[in-house]
This record gives sequence, C-alpha cells and structure tokens, in this order.
Amino acid sequence: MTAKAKTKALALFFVFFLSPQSFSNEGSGNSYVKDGVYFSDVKLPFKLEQQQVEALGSGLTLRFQLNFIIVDVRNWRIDREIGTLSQAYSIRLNAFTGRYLITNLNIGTKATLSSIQEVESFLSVIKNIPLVDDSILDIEKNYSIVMQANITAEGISQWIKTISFWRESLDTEFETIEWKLLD
Amino acid sequence: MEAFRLSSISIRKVVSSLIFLSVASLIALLFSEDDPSELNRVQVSLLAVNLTSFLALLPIVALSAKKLFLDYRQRKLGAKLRLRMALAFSGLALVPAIVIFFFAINFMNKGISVWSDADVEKGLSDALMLGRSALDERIQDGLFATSNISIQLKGMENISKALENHRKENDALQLSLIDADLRLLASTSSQIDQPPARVPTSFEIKQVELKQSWTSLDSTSDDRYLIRVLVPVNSFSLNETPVYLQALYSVDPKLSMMAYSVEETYARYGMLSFMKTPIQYSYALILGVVVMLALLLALYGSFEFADRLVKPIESLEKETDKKTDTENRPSNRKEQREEDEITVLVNSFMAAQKEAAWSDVAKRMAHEINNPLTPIQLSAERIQKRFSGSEEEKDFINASTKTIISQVDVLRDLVSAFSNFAEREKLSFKKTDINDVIEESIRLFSRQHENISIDLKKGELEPIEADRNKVQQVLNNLLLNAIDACEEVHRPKISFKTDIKKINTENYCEISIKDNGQGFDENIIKKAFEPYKTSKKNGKGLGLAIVKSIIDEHKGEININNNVVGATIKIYLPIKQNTAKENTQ
Repeated sequence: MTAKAKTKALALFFVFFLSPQSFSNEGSGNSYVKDGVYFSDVKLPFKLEQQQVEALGSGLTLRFQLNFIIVDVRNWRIDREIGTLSQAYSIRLNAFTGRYLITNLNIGTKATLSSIQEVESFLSVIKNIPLVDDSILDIEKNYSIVMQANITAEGISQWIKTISFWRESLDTEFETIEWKLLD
Repeated sequence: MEAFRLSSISIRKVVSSLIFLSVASLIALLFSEDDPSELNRVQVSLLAVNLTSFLALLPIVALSAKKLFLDYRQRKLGAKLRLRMALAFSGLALVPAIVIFFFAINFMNKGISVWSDADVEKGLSDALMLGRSALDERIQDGLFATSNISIQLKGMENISKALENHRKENDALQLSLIDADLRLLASTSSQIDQPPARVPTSFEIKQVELKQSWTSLDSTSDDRYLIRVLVPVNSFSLNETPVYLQALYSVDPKLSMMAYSVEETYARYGMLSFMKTPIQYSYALILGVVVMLALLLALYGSFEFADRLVKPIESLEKETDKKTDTENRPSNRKEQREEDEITVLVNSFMAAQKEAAWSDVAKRMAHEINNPLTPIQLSAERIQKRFSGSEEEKDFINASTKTIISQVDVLRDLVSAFSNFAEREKLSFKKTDINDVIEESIRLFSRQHENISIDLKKGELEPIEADRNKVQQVLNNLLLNAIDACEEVHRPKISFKTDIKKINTENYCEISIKDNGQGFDENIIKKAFEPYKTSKKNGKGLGLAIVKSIIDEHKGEININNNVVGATIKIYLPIKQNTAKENTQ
C-alpha cells in the first residue's frame, strides 16, 4: 500500500468511525402565524440508539437540540440568513424514580416519562416553537426554514468522545429539514 | 561543513522555548480543573501544546542522533566517546522513565478501577433501593387514600367541591379527574399558583386499565419528589366514558433531599463507570505524551551533555596530537582508531611528552656542553701560542691543539643544532611569497653545486601568512638534504613545484621537492621527523625534526615518500593562519 493510499484509508477511517451517526430523514416541518409571531411544528423520526439508551441508564445526560435558520431565498444570488434559533432539551434517567426527565432548556419546563418509547414519541413531535416576529419579515419575499437536529452526550468532552472511537458514537445527527415559512 | 549542528544557538533557542512551553503547559495541566469526564478544552489545548513540542523536538533529536551515528561510523575524532556518553546518559534517563511509566499506568488503572468496584456499585444500588423502600409506605398510603376517594366520588354531583374536600382530608397536593381521552375534567390544588395538573400519558392509562392503579415517583423542577397515584373512578365508567383520578402527594423534604443526593451520586457514578475505559486511555495518553516528551528532552540533554563533556577532551587531544609527528600521531594510527578517545588522548600525551623530553634533553645538553667549550678552546689556543719547546714538540703541540680546536667547533655546531631544535622562537607571520623564498634558496645553493640541476615550477600562488625566515630555514634544510642525497648520482636533478590545494574548503600552498637521489632508508622514513634519526654518516638527526617543528608551528603538514628513483617531500602550508587550525585538526 502506498503512502497516499494509506493516508486515504486513514481519512476514511476517521470519516466513518469518528463522525457522528446520522439518521435518514423522514421529518417534516410547517409554520403558521399566531398573534404576529411565526411558530413552527416539527415532526422527526426521533429514535435513541442502543448505546444512547445504555448511556442514559448509566447516568449520562443527552442533549437534543434543534437549530433553526430562517433564510431569505433569493434568485441568482446567495441566500441571506435572517436569523437563527435553537431549541434544546436534556434527557436523563432519574435512577430513583426510574423515569426519564426531559427538560426544555429554553424555558425550563420539565416532563417525566416512564419509558424510552414515550421519550421518543414525546420528542418526535415538537409543537409551537416561536421563530420570528412577522414585523421583521417582508411579506413579498420568499423565506425558508432550515432545521437541523442532533443528539449529543452532555458532560463528555470531544476529547473523550474521540478517544472512545471503538464505541458506537453517542452523538447522532438528523438530516436537515427545510420548509417554506409561508406556503 | 555540517548541515545540522546540535550546538547551534538557534536549535538551542528552539529547544529552550519548547521546554519552557511544555513545562508551563504541564504545570497548567496539573492545576487545571480536574474533572476526569470533562478534560475540557483548556486541558486538550495544553495537551496539544505538549504534543506540538514533542513533534517539534522529535526531528531535532532524530537529526542529532543521526549525526552522532554518522560521526561514529566515519570514525571522527571524539565521536566514539560522545556516542558512548550519550548512550550512557540516555540509558540512565530511559530505564527509570519507562519503569515509572509502566508503574504509573498500572497504579492509575487500579485507582480508576476502584471507582467501578462491584461493592461500590452494589452499595449505591442498595442505597437507592433503601430510599425507594422508605417511600414505598408513603406510596401505599397514597394509593389507599386515592382508591378510597375514587369510591367516595361515586354519585357526587359537585365534583369540584368533593375533590377539594377529599384533598384536604387526605393531605394531597393535587387531585384531578381525567377522561380516557386524557382531557382534564376537574382539578383541585393546595396552592393557587400550583402549575396545572400533569395529564397522565396513554401508557399510564393503559397500565391503570390493566392493573387498576398506577403509582410513580416524580421529580420536580426544584429537585423535590412527588408521589403520583392514578386510579379508575368506577362510578363514572357506567356512562361508558372511563374517568381516572390522579392524586399528587408530597414527600418529606428531608427524605426527598437525601433521595436526590443518592440519585445524583448514583448518576455520577454511573457516568464515570460508563466512561471508565476512555478516561483510562486519556490519562494513559497524557502520561505517555509527558513521558515521551521527558524522554526526548533527556535524550537531547544527553547529546548536549556528552558533547560538552567530550569537547575539552577533544581539544586537548588535538593539541597534543599536533605536538607529535604525522606518522606517529595516535589519532592517525589505525589500531588507535579502534580505541576510545581517552586512550588516544593518553597516547597523544605520551608522544607529546616524549618529544618534550627530547627537547629538554637537547636544551640541557646544549647548555652543559657549551659551557666548557670556550675555556677548552681558549686553553688550546693559549697552549699553541705560548709553547716554546723544540720544533718537533712544537709541531706535535700544534697538531694536537688544532685537533682540539676543530673538535670544539664540531661540538659548537652540535650545540647550535640542539639549541635550534630545543628553542622554538615565536613566529612572526607576514605575507610571504613562497616562490620568492624558494628561488632564494635555489640561488644560495646552486652556485656551490653547479653540477646539480635545480629548477622551480611556479604555481599561481597568492602570498601566504608565514614566518619568512623559518620557511627559508625549512627550504634550505630540505634542499641541502636533497643535494646530499644526489651526491653519487650521474645527472643530479632537484625539482621544486608549487601549487594551490584545497583541503576541507580551505586553501593550502603545496610545495613539493623532488630529487633523483638515493632516497630515504626504508627503516628511517617512518621516523624521519623524530630527533636523532638519520642515515647520514655525520648527520645529527635534527634537521628534519626542526623542519617538522617549524611546519607544525605554521599549522601545516609535511610528508615524505620514496619514488622509484629518489624521493619527494611535500609541504602544505595554510594560506591564512586563522582558518588553518580547524582544518588541519
């Protein structure tokens, strides 16, 4: 094997084994206006991997984050970013109660769920996420929402994640979903 | 000459900076916040600094090692001793470092393994179970009370009021009625600002349908625990719409706090156990980098230390080496090359002392012999003048005193030669045209020896820095030797030739003197430059020794070779004196 081929193989190793897993996406999103504010509802194929369930059982906290970008889609020009918003949840298992505690990290509300299935169905549909005030948008323009979601293990540095390369990654990334702000 | 010099200032500066950077980062790493599961960005950055230092130091040490081995293979002066010392110092650093590394790794792994000790895990699980058991009684009480309420709600019209009454009676925090579609029908709470009742999930409703009850322990946002009980209200189910009663009961704050503490510890322990192996690898890697860096620094230090330690010995050896003749220089002798520098140095000292001893003997002899010569000569002359005996006796006295006086002259010449050998005057270096000096020697001797063809083939020489008188003395001496060697030759011929020769990037003046005489005795040629070695009948054996000492004082070289007919002597004199030293060494 030549040095160049070795380098390529090493690069592929890092790409395939050290990068977070990703879900094929069947998610969707839609937006609506309510009292002058644009809200969005998002549906995701939220599913925790076996290693993530084990990690929760071991006491680790997972962070589920949805990153929204509002984009002004322009013809013949590069799209312009209007704003960004993140919606984050932490998921952990309370060993004492045996229930999963989901905390909305943006507003602090908590929900306790008894099973992983409930957690998955709870986070598969997220409704009423306030995105942007309609006063800053131009009704004539063509806006899109780009949403990218991911799950990461909290309290574990990238260093530790890198050094546990032999394990299945605790981080997952969902495929990007895009929809029109105004259909 | 050297592409890479270990001792160069720039390399030293780089290494010093790396050492400073690494030590600073290691100290910072030592005092940084030490959460084993975190190894936050600062720690990773510091580790990156150490890795960078390691990667920067690696080629420097590798090049130093390569140079050391190349020097050794080329058998350069001092390389063997330097290599031995470097290996010794490196070994002294390597062995303990490796031992410490493996012991540290072993102890660290054992230390980390203690975290996940089975007893600790069992203890924590038991603590968790104990806490749950303590709450079980309260949960059973809550279940009993809620079941009673659900029975008593049968047939009541003012449900809200009934709920409030039952809540107060049973010390519940909240009572709620929920239908099968998870809609809240009625609710009552102990606090006005109590958040709205949490609607049970469909899973919980299904569990109630199956088991006739559902209990759970919920944690609140303020880290308290609540007991939640869900039971069916049978009286309402007659209307074909199942209704469920949900009750919330508080847990004793002290018990709640302890339960929270146990749960936190359990979660932290679980996380550490989950990350145990990566944490072990992480610490091992950090330790590995630190040890490797320390080893590289030790290696570099050993090369430097060996270099510094050997340098004075080398200098001493070179100086003593110069004091002895080329053939007998210990550093030049093949068998000596196999020995280390200390042995070579000892041999060099021995040779130098031998020469010094000869010089001392010559000086003493010259002094001791010279002192009585004058009175002997004067006495002989006085006897010669004042003797007034018969003519026959007078002739005898005259002949005897003449013999005495002539032998005194012989002795004076000998003393003079000894003095010249022993007393080395300080040289006076001036720009000297070597061709001019050779021509002067040829002029001096060609008149007395017209039968000998003496010629000079001039090279394009620039004036060299030399003591003209001493060089003249050398050339006269060598020309006289060549003339003596050609005494019995039919067509004697002596040829001088000058040229420029480059030795180790420096220019040297090459003077060759070739004759077609009898050549050197093979037994003498190897020791021709030693004092008192001569094949001439009346020779003192000091001429070539003096020539050699003058050439040495000019930091030059001289060598003798016999040809098929005659011999050739070659002299190499540096063009400039200040640069000649390094090259001739």
